[in-house]
Amino acid sequence: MILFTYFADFLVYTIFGLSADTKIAGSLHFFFEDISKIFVLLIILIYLISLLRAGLKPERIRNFLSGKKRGVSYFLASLFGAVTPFCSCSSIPLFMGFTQAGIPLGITMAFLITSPIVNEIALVLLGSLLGWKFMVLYAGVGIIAGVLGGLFIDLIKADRYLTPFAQNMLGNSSESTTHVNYSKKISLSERNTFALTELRTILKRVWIWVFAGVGIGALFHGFVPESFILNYLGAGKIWTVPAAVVVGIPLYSNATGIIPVAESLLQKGLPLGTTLAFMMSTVAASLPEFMMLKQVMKIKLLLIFFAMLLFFFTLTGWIFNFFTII
Amino acid sequence: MQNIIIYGSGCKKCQKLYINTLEAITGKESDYTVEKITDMESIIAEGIMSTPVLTVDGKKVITGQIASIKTIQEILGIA
Repeated sequence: MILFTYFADFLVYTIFGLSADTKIAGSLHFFFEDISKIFVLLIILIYLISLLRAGLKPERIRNFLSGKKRGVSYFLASLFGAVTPFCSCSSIPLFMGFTQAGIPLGITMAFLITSPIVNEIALVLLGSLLGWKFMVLYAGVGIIAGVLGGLFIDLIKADRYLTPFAQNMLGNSSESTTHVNYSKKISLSERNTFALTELRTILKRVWIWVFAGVGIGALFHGFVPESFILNYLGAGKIWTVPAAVVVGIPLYSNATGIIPVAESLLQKGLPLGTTLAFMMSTVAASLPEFMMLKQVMKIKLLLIFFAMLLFFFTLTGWIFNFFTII
Repeated sequence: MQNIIIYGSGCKKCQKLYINTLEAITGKESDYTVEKITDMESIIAEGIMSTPVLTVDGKKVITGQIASIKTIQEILGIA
């Protein structure tokens, strides 16, 4: 990792000839170090991870989950949400596919809640920018969010609040899913092709988020004084956590873009809990997803769902801030 | 004559797969019919869980990912 620091040192201080104590040099250094690090890691790790998980499809997860005991299923669904690749434009077919197979609504929701929060890219970036402890913490909280969210959805018997469209589809479960044999073995060359395609697709999708995220992080790093955060947003200020969560909702970003921002916020002394709460609410609760889920959920359920997420993220933030203080 | 259908909710991935398919059959258009289905109910009725999906004569050959022009040609047997 030190390699990227040298690279940024060389670029900013030697090539650009900037003095290390200027604000602009601080910003640029942050920018080049993070950008180079993130892209190198993304390329290597997306490729490797894609090799491993080629063939892991939602259909297989569904078949696996539909035979499991209910108690463990919340946890398993949440865990699978973290590792299964799926594009948010597939959330409705996935939702229906799960529920049609007789998987309880809450277990499906556990999958859908964790999915945007925890994914391999986010974990890789967290590990390399903020350390493995933060990474484990983040993954843990994300998975627990899925489990608790799912339990809550079943507790309030949320099936009542599905749209007529969704309820109709539930009646006629389809048999056409057997066309493809999902458990067939995949050859190494097929895995390689899959991994290369994934790499291209993911990079194409996230590069702009990385640039935006690192850019904002860099500006923050260079130009926002530490005293500002300490004075106004320190751990002792209880209201800052819900405020961070509320600010995070309209800021729609994926996990890749928000991590460099979080790195910069943490370095400036924003408390751990507040940062976590902000990150989670930015990636988990978003308007596009709201619009998507509106097709299968009545407004009432959507509002309950979002309120629940906000409550949970706020609580998480408070708990972590509390432990940071003592 | 083979019947190709691309299922997708209209996201970028789905459009890309559609474009690649059209490219893949360039010069052989008369051998295939290509159809795009974006209607959510039809997608769900097919039992599709991750889009895009490409079917050839009703058989799912690509699910949940984009395929390159070359891959599509291999699947269709166009060298």
